[in-house]
Amino acid sequence: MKHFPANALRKQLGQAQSAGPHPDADQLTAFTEEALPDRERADVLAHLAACASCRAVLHAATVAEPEVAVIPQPRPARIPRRIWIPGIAVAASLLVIAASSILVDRATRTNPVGPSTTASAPAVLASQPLSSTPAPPAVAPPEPRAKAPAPKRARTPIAPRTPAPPPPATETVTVSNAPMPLTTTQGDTSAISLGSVATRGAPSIKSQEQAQAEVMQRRSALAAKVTPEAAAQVQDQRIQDQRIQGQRIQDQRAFAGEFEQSVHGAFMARPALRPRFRINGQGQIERATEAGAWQPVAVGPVVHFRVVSVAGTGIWAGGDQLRLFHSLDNGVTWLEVPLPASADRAHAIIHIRIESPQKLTVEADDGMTWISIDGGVTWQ
Amino acid sequence: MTSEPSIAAEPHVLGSAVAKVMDLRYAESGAHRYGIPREHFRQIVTAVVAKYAADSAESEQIELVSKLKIEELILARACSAGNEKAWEAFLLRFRASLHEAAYRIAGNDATGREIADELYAELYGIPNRDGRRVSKLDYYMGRGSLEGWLRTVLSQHYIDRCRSYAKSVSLEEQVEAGASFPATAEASTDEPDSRLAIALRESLDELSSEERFVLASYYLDQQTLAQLARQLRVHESTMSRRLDRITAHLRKRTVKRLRAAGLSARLCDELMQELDVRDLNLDVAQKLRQESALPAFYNKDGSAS
Repeated sequence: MKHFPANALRKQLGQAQSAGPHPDADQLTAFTEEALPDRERADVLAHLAACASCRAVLHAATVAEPEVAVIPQPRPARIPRRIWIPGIAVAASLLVIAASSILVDRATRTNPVGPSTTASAPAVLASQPLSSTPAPPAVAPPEPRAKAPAPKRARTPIAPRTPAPPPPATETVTVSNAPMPLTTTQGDTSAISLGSVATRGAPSIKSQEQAQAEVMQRRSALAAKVTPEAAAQVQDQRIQDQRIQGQRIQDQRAFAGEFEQSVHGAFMARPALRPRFRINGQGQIERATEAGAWQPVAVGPVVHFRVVSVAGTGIWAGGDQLRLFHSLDNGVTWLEVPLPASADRAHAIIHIRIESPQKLTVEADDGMTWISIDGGVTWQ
Repeated sequence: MTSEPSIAAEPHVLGSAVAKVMDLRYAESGAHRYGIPREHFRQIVTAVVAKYAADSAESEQIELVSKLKIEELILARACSAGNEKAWEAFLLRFRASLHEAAYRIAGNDATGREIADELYAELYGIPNRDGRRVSKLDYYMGRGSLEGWLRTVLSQHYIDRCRSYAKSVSLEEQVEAGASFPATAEASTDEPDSRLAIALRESLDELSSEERFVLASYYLDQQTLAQLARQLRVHESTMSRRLDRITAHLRKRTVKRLRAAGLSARLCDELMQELDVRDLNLDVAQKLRQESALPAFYNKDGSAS
């Protein structure tokens, strides 16, 4: 609303002509309580937009509305953050691994062999289903997608990577869009660097030889550190991790289900939202929801109540023999608040005014008034 | 305030379906507790239908009868008829809330008690010219809750009281009370560019009733977003967004009209910026006082209620 000609707007709004007769108090009340049919509501709104008098009445009546104690609405159970954050992390990591596998798989499909310098035995990296059931530690060699038959898998020490063809006992793995071989004893162990390799530039940008040389250098540096035992250990460890993660996810889901049930049950056990209080003809306190059903409230002692006042979640109720009760939890539990001993118990409390949670005024039917400025602890 | 309510003043024939709904509602009205026979009950409800839905379709009449706060309507009628049991129930249920509402409206205990007592007197009944006691409760028609109706009537009393008080207080009394008078009692008379006024008026006419009500309440009546939200039963943040959307739309439409009238973009910006919100000087209270002293509510026949 910056730089809006509000003064001109006020002039125009103030010059608006009233539309139709003034709505009566019944209609204004029904308007505020949303009890008017749509057509009649539109008429009342049209009148209110142009009639300052009716708006003033409406505004004043709204000010006079008592505060309504609102009980939290039943909401869908929310999994605690400390539970769902690890779950998301696990899911994200599984997703990344699965995406990497797919990329590798797609790369090998598009470039089954490629002009590999290791013309002797090009093979495809064994892409295991990482995101589902863990594979057994000893993985059978995957079906070679290359035209040339894959050599038999053998656990032999990895030879130092050089652009030269690897020894025939080793397995050559193509890992990226660029048809680059990687020599390793276990196809999966090479997935350690799959992410970085698989996303590298296409052969159209960089010459195949250059790219191949670059990747081979990186792979050789990596493979030099990986022994067959270490590779097998990594494989076992990863499978174990997957099992643990799977179990953890199941536990989290089970816990989330129980949590939701418990929270939902707890809320369902509570009264519905927006309770209102009244005193029935027998002097009992009743509570109602917007659904309209009035239910008696068990205060404890049998008292003929005369007045109940609500402010936020605090409820004060008074009745015969100057009995005064206070509830801090929307009428679930009540505590009797004693008035000064000098008070004449033959009278009844007929008026309770709550100015703040600390300051309230209690009035009896004989005109006696007590004021507390400390939430009912002491009275004057 | 002096006209009498017309309960079954004019015979109104209702359809059989409406009559059936009435019979169903008789059982839940508690009319038997106050000795109100079925025939009298029908007259009461028929008067309500005649007032609000005389020319409406039968389905609308049925909806009206179905939504009436029938128990409170019967309680009000029983009270106005002088039923002691009804008065006992009325005082038990509404005395505290009535005082509380009066206190909230007036903002202080003394005035609140005064307007509450005045209303009590009217609820009990004031003799008219014929000597017949007429209760204010006869005007309650059960469209909204009785408690809400009492609050609305209290508000009306308070506003009428403020207006009459402002008229009756002399200048000396106001000066003694510390009132200061600005050099220009009138609101800002700076007349905005007529082209802007025309464009703004046309843009306002395009808005819906609710949007104009929101603007008038916010800019004219100085209502806060929280108060507005409470009146329209929406959240305060929703009301804030709605107000922003309305004003943005209004500004856009106004600028478009100004441009269509041949104004340059720069001139449009100047017109829209020359009057800032902070420059506003409009005495809403004075505007309210300038209006007639007639009561805020009227019956359809033009008589005051």
